[in-house]
Amino acid sequence: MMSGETRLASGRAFICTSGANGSTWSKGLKRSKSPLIIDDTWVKAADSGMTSGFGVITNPTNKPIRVIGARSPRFAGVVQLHDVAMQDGTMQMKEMDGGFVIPARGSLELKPGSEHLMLMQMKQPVTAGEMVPMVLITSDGGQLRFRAMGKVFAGANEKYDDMGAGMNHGGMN
Amino acid sequence: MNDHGETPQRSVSRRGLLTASGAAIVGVAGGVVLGRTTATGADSASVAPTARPRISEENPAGWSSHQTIDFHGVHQAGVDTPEQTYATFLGLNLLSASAQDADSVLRIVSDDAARLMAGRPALGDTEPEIAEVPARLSITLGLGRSLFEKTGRADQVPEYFAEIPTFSTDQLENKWSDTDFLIQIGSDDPLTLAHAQRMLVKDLSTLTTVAWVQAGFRSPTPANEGGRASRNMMGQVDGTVNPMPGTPQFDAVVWTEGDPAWAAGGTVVVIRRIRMLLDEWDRMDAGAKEIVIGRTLDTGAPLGGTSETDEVRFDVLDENGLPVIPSNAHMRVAHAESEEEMILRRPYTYDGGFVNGVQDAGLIFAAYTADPRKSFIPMQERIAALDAFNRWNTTIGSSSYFIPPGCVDGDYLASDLFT
Repeated sequence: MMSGETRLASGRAFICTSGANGSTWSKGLKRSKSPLIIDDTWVKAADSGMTSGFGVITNPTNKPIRVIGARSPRFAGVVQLHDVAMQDGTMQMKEMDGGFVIPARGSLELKPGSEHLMLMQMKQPVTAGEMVPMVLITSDGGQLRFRAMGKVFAGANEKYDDMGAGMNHGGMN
Repeated sequence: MNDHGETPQRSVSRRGLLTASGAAIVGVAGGVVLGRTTATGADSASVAPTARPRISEENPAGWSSHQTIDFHGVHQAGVDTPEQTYATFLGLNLLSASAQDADSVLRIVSDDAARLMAGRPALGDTEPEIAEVPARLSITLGLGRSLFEKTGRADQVPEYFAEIPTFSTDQLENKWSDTDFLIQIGSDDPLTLAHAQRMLVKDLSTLTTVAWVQAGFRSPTPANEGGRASRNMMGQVDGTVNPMPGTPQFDAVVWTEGDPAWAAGGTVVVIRRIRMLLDEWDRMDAGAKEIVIGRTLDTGAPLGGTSETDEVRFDVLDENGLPVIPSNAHMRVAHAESEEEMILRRPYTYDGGFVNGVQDAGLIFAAYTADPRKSFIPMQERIAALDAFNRWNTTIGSSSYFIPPGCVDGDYLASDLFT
């Protein structure tokens, strides 16, 4: 099991907290509207603690674009960029060291069980049908503002240990 | 095993699933990689993923698996849409009295409907593969009077959205009565419909409770070649007299206008659950059945006529000087006495199983009208007072809803009402 506190303590440069490490995008880089496009955005409804955000990010340009951070100041103290992968025999979430790279003329789907946005230190509940304002920040200072709809969702849970063990015992074939 | 001694495998490769990074999975629409292991024993992970199994455009029943109905438009779909083979009506109640919660319901239903009707998964869809077969899916949202009242919007109830009285022949069971919301789902594929229903109910689970579900079906085959009406459980050709979508008459009969402005382009639906007393009906001979209805059983022609669409003549007398179509025949009593009295009939058959050994089956009679005060209510009063057919059916459920107008892409249904 992973705890949010542990991840926070390990804080990395790309995490867009307002202090300490100094968000890389805000120093010496001009903020601009990112050419990235995001569709199908939604956030798992949750009362408190943490929750996840999803969507499909499309890069219409001829160069890869790196998403290095995300924010949702009204709803979350911190938003991290996460991936889910096998680790020590279980499915676990982990921070993406280099952020999300959106390939040139390609797209990346943030979805349960895969890359996603992790909203932490929630300031207020995300209810079903609510529109949650968020922003993605790219390494070149680009900002992509969007709203994501709150949706009831049973998956995208923080603990993957049980599922991992179950899968190792087969039953899918 | 196939003819070549191979064992085709469609199983999910566990190794591929567990080791693939998220990014690798993302490259394949829908997520799961379907591998096919060949007889040479190649590692499934090294085999190129096969394309999604092709679904034929036309299924044996003649409808198209991939045919879609537009969600966005001046009017909501599911009213002028040619009847799909299956329809389910859901009555839901808002858990709170909050206008904000009501607005969330409108947003969620609109978003789910726009995606699912286009053959795309809903956001957070746990069975996205089912969504890829829309089969003319339509999702229609209705608002009950109680919703307006509990959210402080009583002043926004259109005048024509009048309460439907209890008629003298009604034997209403409370479990089918008015609710805050109606969701009407239609599709030619029952699995698609069931998936859309589950997705919507799940998405609304923190905001609403389901009060009732009325599931219906109809024959996809018209009773007469080239006709639009099909048969009901009593074998009758049902739904012959209907305005034709796309005509000025249809627009006048169905779509609302005037105040309040946000409601113009909507319609009022009355949903009646009519139990057919099939075992009693069985006692009647065909000739007697025809006299009760006023139409023949084979073609549905009005008595004295030869085809379904023959002009109805009530003044023709038989050799005894009696009307060929008796004055209390169902089709005569239910016949609109003016264009203003016309309704759009969109009936579905329900089969509710057996109650104390007696089959509970009949019609989910959905009537759409611009003003029930001038159409459905006077017609139903006449039926209750006069119709010979009343002996063989009983209305056990009644509810009515305002169906708000459609919305454009980027907006949601009735977006002005609660904000």
